[in-house]
Amino acid sequence: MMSPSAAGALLVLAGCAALGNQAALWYGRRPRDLAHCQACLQVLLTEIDYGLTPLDEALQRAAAAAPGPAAAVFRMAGEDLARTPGRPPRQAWSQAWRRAAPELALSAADLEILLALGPSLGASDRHHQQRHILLCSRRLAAAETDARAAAQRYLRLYRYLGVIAGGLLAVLLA
Amino acid sequence: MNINLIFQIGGIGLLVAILHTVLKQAGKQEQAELVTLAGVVVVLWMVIQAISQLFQLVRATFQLY
Repeated sequence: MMSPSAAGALLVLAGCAALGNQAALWYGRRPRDLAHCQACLQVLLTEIDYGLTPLDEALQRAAAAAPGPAAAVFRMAGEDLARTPGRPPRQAWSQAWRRAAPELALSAADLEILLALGPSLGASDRHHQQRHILLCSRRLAAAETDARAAAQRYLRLYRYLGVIAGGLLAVLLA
Repeated sequence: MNINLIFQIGGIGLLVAILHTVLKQAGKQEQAELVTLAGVVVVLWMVIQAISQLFQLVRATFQLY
């Protein structure tokens, strides 16, 4: 039978370990979300450049290119545009990203890269849009490389930090 | 004598040393030094409290000032 103080110490340790794990998960999810964004942008580029698809439909088809919350943003923007035809595409685009931002593991800089694409979507000819989408894709690829390096450094660090901090607290409170 | 105090100080020392190593390996040198400093301060605080109790015991035993 475990004593109450031992049970309490175990709970403190488990709680801190869970917090550390939560912080570590963000670093693990960021490269994945960036990769999904790039996959969706690739499909969007194909739809705009070769398929000459209307933007709302192109966005929804791009959403099918990847799973996860990042792809859902493309779907949200596409559905928003389909619902309100007169709406400027950049507004639908930026609103979709801002609404989904809390659920995505993207940094402020990553979000800025994606929001910068908004003004050129549906506002110029397809070559112009193609260049902007390619630029956005390349920036996201660079961000993904950084994110993978950061994940390698910080994933284990935050997990260990959580467990050790929990141990320290348990010892101090004992 | 409260033997738990010794184990607590030992446990804190061990965990702080591990944390220092982990942070140093992750490239966070300053944070590692801060954690060590914080550990030293906490242990010093615990020791000072024990010493204070000792002084009070001596004072009470010999009825000093």
